Amino acid sequence: MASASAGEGEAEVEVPRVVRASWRGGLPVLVEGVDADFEDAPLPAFSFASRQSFLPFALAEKLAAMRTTSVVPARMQEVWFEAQGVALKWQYPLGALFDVLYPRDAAPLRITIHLRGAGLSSSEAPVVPCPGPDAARKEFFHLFKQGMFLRYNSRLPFTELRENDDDALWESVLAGEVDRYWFVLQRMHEYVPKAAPVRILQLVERGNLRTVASKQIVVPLDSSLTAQELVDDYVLGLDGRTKLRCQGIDVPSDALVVDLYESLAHADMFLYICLYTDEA
Amino acid sequence: MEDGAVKVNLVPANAPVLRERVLTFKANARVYDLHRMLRERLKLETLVLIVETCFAPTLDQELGDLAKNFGRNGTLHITYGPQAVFG
Repeated sequence: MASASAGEGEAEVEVPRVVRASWRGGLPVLVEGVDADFEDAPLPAFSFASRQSFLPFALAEKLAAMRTTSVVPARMQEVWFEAQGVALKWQYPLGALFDVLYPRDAAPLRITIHLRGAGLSSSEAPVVPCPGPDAARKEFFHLFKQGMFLRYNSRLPFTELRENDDDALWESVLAGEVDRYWFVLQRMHEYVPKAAPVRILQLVERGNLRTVASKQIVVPLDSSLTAQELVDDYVLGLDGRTKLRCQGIDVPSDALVVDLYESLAHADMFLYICLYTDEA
Repeated sequence: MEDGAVKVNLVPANAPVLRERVLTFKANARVYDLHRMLRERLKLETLVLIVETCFAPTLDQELGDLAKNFGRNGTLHITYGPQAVFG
């Protein structure tokens, strides 16, 4: 176990080594823009982002530059993100999006930025426009609360957060600082976790439409279900070539879900199991 | 992924009361579908949905998943209103 200080004036916290290692993960990102949407935008551009981060924040600097150079009317300047023809849900951690879209580590993650109004929009694959930073931050906390509710089977743990904790939590996620994040989570330790919240992500194709489908499942902590068994139970039409990946790591077929959760859960309190087909 | 139906109890918060408070949806219907239906019925520009007076679900979540995870007595309880009155 590694020991680390959470910050000035804060007690030391013990962060498991494997958790620390998974938080250290980062991704190279190549940002592109649609020529018709942007003029004189400083693109393409490279960036580097934490796996725990989210698109609107990982690309905040680039987005700020693009908004000022766009010739599109202000009311149309809400952006959305696309990679490999898939309209991305920015609410998922960047690492999970990468794992489901680029299973063969074909870095960098190539993100195309679109302006709203010029793209797909249907109930099958709603474009998820990126709101301003405040709204995006609020959305993260809704996801975090949802994960915490499932983890503890109660909404009470969230009430343990103190006035400045949400800032510390948010900043730690964006910067990939596991010590600060872990320190805030210590406040919930008097509550007993009951389950592991899991999301299974899979790239699906319906006609010309490609989208990331998700399934949300809660696995009780006393369960001996393996990740492979969980996926087989909830996802139809898989064959022997389907592989599982969490935080950039291929998951052994006999790995227990609850063990994976302890080591590889994302900051929003969910374990993301990403499916891909092994073409080799 | 799964078939079946989901009962959703819709509780207003600073919003008009629906004639039918409990609606039934397919389990694979998404929050997006409920959100769009309510916005049209209530003629609201903005609408916030809150599950169990705790959190706002994302639009792509399946109502069946939410009911399984958060439902009580076979019903998913969702509060709706023009702004975030909870959480």
